[in-house]
Amino acid sequence: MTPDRLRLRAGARAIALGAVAAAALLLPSLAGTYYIRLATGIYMFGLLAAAWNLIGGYTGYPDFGGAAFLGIGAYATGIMMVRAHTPFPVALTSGCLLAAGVAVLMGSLLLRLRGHYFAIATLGFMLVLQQLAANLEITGGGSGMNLPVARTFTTFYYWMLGALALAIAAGWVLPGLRVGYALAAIRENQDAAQVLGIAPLPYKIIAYAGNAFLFAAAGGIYAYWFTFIDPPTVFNVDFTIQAIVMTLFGGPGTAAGPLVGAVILKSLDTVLTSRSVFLHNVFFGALVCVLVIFAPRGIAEIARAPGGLLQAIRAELRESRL
Amino acid sequence: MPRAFGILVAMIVATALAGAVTGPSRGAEVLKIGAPLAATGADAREGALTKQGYDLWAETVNARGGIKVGGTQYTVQIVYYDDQSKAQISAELTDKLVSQDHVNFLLGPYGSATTFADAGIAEKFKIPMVEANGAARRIFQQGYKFVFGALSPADEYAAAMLKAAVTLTPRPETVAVLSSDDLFSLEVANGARDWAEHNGLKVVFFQKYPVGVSDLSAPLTTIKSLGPDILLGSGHLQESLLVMKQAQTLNVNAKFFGFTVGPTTPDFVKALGPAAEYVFASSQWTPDVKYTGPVFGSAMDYARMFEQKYGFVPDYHAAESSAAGLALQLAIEKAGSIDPQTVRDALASLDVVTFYGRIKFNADGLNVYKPMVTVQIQHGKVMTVWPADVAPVSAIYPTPAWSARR
Amino acid sequence: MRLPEPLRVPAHAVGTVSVAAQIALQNALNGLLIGGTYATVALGFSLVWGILNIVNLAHGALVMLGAYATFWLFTLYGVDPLLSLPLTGAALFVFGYALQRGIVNQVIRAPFLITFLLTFGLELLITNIAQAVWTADIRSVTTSYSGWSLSLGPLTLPVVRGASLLIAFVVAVLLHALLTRTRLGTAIRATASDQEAARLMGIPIARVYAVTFGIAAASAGIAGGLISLSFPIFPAMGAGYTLIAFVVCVLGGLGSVPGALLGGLVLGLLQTYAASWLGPNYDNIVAFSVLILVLLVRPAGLLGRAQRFRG
Repeated sequence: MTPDRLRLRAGARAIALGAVAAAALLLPSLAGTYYIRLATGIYMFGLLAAAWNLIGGYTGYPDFGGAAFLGIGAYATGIMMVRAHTPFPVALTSGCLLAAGVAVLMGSLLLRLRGHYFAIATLGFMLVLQQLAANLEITGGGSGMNLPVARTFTTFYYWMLGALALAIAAGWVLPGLRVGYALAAIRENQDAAQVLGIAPLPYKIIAYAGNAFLFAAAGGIYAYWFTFIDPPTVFNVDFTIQAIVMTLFGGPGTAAGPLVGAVILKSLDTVLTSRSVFLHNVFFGALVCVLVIFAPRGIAEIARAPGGLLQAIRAELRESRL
Repeated sequence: MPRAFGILVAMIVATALAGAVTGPSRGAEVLKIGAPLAATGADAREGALTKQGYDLWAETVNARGGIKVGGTQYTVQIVYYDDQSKAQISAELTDKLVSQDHVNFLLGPYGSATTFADAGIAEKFKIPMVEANGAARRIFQQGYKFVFGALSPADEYAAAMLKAAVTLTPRPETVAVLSSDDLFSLEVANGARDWAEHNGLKVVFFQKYPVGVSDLSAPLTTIKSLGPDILLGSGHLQESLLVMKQAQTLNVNAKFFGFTVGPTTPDFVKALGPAAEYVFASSQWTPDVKYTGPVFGSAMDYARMFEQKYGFVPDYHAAESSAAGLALQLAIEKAGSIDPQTVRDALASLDVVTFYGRIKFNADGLNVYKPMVTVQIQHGKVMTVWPADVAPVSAIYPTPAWSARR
Repeated sequence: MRLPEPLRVPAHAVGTVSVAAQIALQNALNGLLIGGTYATVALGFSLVWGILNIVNLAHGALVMLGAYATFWLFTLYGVDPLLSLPLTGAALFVFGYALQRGIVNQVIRAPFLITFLLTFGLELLITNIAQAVWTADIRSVTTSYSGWSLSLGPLTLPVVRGASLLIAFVVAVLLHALLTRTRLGTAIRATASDQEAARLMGIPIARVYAVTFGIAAASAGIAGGLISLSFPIFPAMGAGYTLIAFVVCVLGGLGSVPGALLGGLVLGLLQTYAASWLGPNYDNIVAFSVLILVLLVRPAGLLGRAQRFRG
């Protein structure tokens, strides 16, 4: 590619980026409340997917306990706002930092595990926190907790958008950083990376803490947005699973992939929910199956494949079936 | 990457455009009423019962020519969405019902947590919501003005059973409470503890279990060693079934088995067979209550109408749901308008006796004027046993020991 | 057959026991009984994980199908649930075999996250189709002997659950014999320990995988049948059992029949004593804290044979 064309592409990309930003910033003044709510929800899942992408996509560690940090963020924000009357931004930031701190502690233990074992250990950690929240006094126990009611819902749109931008940006700059290289090496072959002098644990902890910080951000905003939280709602494995499916759909280990996945799947889910009261979960289940069989590296990968869609699918099948 | 970006731009722009084009398409003579309701998830069973109640009301009203407002007859159309038993989805759908589907009014979802989430949305849009399946008092302590609960609040569930229990001889003295760890069940359980302690009953056991627990043999073993007169289960249908099954096989004998949710649903007797005998439950309503009112006639008439349509005798879930629709209808007719604010005011000052009992809302929007009843399963049927003036039969007490049962 | 109830062993034969000890003793029994259920559920899960290297999140859904098969055979045709177990197992075998051949096999060599998600999708599909077909009604198999219990001195033994524990042992022993004593078992273990070598020896890998999956489904079906005898059943009942199976496998070491049995019993006892001493809402805290500890300290499981069937 010539430098000219490169510059042209960079320009096109800047324009596209500007258009996205403008559309996102202006949406609340154009759309009705339902669409604002819908968009806020989509951003939330985009945020979760982008956060999971840090540990699951870039690092290759299948974290199934992301909701643990979502719950920490939600409860920390709630407790500080209700019991200490802390302003929301302060409470939210504290919640995020707390979650990142917990991630450093737990990560230094859990990140020694690999594969299925890492997956189940993180899930177990999330379930332990869920039950802990149900048994504590300060969280309101199983009865849950009410946060103060905000005057307008549009603020949450912008909070979620901001957190999403942060998450996307993290995914954007990561591959260029030393951490990014180290994580890629760990993902491809951890033992080889070790031989090359990369001590894996600290890098993995950085990715894990980043993932935790962003999950907590989603949780804190969610708590204030919905004003009522209880342990099963925030410490909910559904959040993690959806983030994973969306990331895989959009393309793991890419900056925009998780958001693309979230936008498409959440929109589809919304349409299905309103069309068919009984069968939307069946559709969703079938979609997941079809997706992982035919396009396990995401739709972007398939769309970009040189020989076209069908050939890419055929190649994929040849590779992974027996 | 550029391709992914293109998709993204298109998506966001499309969403923005779609949001900008919001054309209200309100039918002239159709009254649209929205109801987010669990068709899947943990509350799917109760959600189905609720829907039957709503549907029966809508069909009955429409068969009579609809709701008359001034000179116009409005046909009722209920718009349902599946909230998957999840509060956040329920709230999202409530928003959609109001701002997309432009429903005139709302009926409540099933469950306290979902009702709680939806109430905030209804309040924000100032659209009256009449609900009959969220009994937690906390919903009504938020100062909401547009949310009305036609049912008796959570603490009444336990109180009704205990009030019935202390009229029995020999008077029970000790109570064990086993509660699910969620907002509604805990309000019930705490209500039971308070009432018991203020009325000379001793609470010898009080424990919480996680929602959807699969084994309760350990707490039942402890309860067995304590030998309480009353065993009170505060939870959901599935857990009530579990307690009874395991109490039977572990030979746990109480003189009074009582549950807040479960025994009144048709599944309970079907699933337990003879082990369901003698079980007590509190109920918002039974066909035995002696109330008569507009549209449905008496409680018996309602039960007959329901049975004709669905093939089984309705429990309170269906009745309270029909009553919610009825309350809304009566308020609209009284207001002579479908303006949300006017109808809200009419609801606030509503005071009628219906097949379901008296419907009148206090300042919080809660119907504290209708008493609950206590039922007992006798010969496989749900029979009203308390209060005495409406009960066709008296309670069988004490419950015989398992060893003496067959 | 009708047992006189209660069958009392005279108290003096056992001696007088204090109330606390009596509760602790009864809970040991309770724990073993629920542990037996956990073990039966985990057997098939462990097999598929150990041999196909697939964590089957749809395993609980298969348990649910087994429970419904038993329920319908009992309700529609009056087949006794204990007699219908082989039928249920056979039906689930066919279902599992087809599921593996038709769907799971497509991604068998893909990274584990892919197979994980595929089985998650299958779980959603099966559970929701079941709900659409059979509704969310909560049901139960109530036979004439469902409520029977034996009094053994201070202990109460629910007859059906005792029988379930016994059947769990029988299934485990049969499965173990199948794996260690038959040609098929040898082929399965050979495939697990070195797939390439097994293929060169002329073992039809794809068919071995499908049969293994079928066996796992059959044992899940039998577990479901046993569960339907003692617990309420409904379409969404499976998810919790999948999680349990996961924990049991980690505790016992995967791919091992004795491991699954031991892991199940240990988890059952742990949860029951946790529920008794701390309260029923501490079961997950205890189960998963132990899980994480075992993973960190003894990643091969309590029996230390995690890699037994794998290369």
